[in-house]
Amino acid sequence: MRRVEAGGTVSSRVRLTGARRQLKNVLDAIGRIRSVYPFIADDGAGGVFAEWKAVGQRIEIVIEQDLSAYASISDNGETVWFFEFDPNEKLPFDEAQRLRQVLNNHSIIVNRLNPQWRRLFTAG
Amino acid sequence: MTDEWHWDDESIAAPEELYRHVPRKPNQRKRVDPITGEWSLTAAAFTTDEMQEDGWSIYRNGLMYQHGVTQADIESSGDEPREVWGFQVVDVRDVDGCGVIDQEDPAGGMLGRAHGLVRCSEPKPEKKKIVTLRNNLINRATPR
Repeated sequence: MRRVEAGGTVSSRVRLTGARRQLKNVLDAIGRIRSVYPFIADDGAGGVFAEWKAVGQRIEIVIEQDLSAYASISDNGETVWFFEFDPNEKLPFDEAQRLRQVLNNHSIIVNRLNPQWRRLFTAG
Repeated sequence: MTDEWHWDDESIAAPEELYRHVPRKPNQRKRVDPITGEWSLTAAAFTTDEMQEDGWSIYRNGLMYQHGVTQADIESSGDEPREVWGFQVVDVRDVDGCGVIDQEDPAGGMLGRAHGLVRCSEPKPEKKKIVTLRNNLINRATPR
């Protein structure tokens, strides 16, 4: 996982550490070995997010500084799915399945159109 | 002084350009499209915290022209280097209950006179609405 920088106070570092751990749990639940890597970063407000974006589709999972969480899927800017969840709990089966399927289809398209996509994540 | 919540000014024309300033940091933009390699704004550029606090800060092109300030003034404002991304008022209003108002930043000098806010019809909109607006703006915003 990309290193996430916690800014400011000790308490915000603690929260961000918790958010990172919870985000990793979600990614473990939906990812597969051939999944395209997400872009992972802090949001500058004490939260952390993972995001995929290709061919007009954008998938995001956000854990906010107050440890609330949500996921969304959009196509060409139009939000087609939004789901709020408790990151302390296991992601509900139906929602996890939906994210898994969408990410899998997303990854199949990316792998087909640009088999060299991993290079984009290693450039300085 | 009134407590009335202002969230859209209909006198601001739909095609007008708005400029969003983001820190020149890798966490604010990233080459996330693995097909094209194009840079794109991320969720960090439009946080729910900022929207629920007061609205997303922007500069309005018409006011910038009126007050003789440019994009270079946005880039050099603040404590750290910034970059400018643009979208139109209509991209905000595409989402029901979202709009743009002028709100001078008194600490911003001449540039502050061109300052405005992207807001929703409620002072603290629900996250679904914020995310819907953010997804639309990320899709429309381009670097300037």
